[in-house]
Amino acid sequence: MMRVGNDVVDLGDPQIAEHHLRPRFVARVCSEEERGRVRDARSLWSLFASKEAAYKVLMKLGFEPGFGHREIVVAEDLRSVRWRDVSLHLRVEATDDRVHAVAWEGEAEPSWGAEQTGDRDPSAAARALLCAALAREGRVSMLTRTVSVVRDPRQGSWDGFGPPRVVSRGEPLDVDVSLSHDGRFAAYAALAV
Amino acid sequence: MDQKQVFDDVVAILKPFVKNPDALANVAMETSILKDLKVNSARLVDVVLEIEDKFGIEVKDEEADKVKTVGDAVTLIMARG
Repeated sequence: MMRVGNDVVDLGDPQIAEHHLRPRFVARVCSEEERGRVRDARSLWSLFASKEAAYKVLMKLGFEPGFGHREIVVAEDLRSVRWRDVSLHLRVEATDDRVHAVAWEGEAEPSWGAEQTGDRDPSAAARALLCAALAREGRVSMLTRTVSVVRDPRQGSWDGFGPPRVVSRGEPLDVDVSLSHDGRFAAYAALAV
Repeated sequence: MDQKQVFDDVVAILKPFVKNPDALANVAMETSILKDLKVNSARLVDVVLEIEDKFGIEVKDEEADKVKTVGDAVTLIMARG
């Protein structure tokens, strides 16, 4: 089953600028081996975003990793992430402004991207970014109004809804998607299934 | 410990991390920390650490995982009292 998850972190948020200097936070989030790799905000939040992206995939696969950030272990080269005996592919794009991590299961490469939201609602901005990408890839009509991103009710999830899925003209698309936003940024990842 | 005081302390801990201040105005035991207050997952780690500091307790990962509402946090803290 091919599934994708993503997470974006706005490095410009002053609330997170010095978390890499807080040993208890680092110890709570990172495995012992990962702690030695935390040099600055970017390296810490690259690990965190990777774990969040992996968490989303694991949830889609029916696992319940819970609050155990330390149990989701990111490879030193940031190319894979592991939880127990589940290994996922990973890509991390880090700039001075943001970190965007994408984790997935399956051999196909996902498409993914992040951009500033400006004054837009961040959730709407992430959906628009996804729809534009799907149109560019030829998965849907350039008329993005034919595409909608829906979330089905799911009992027990954090907000009562399951992960997003894409519908075009009432039919589900054969693509698994993940949306995220943080601060100034919205992001997406999409994987053909 | 007094439950009302614990509730007020938990709300004070949450306040800097809340992305939906309107929900904070009507915060109650049933208020969801993630869904209603829109505290994100990274800030949730901060919240757990601050609860540990404020109340002098250790919150294990499996306990933190069960804290979905303000009331869940209050109950967890009261149980240690």
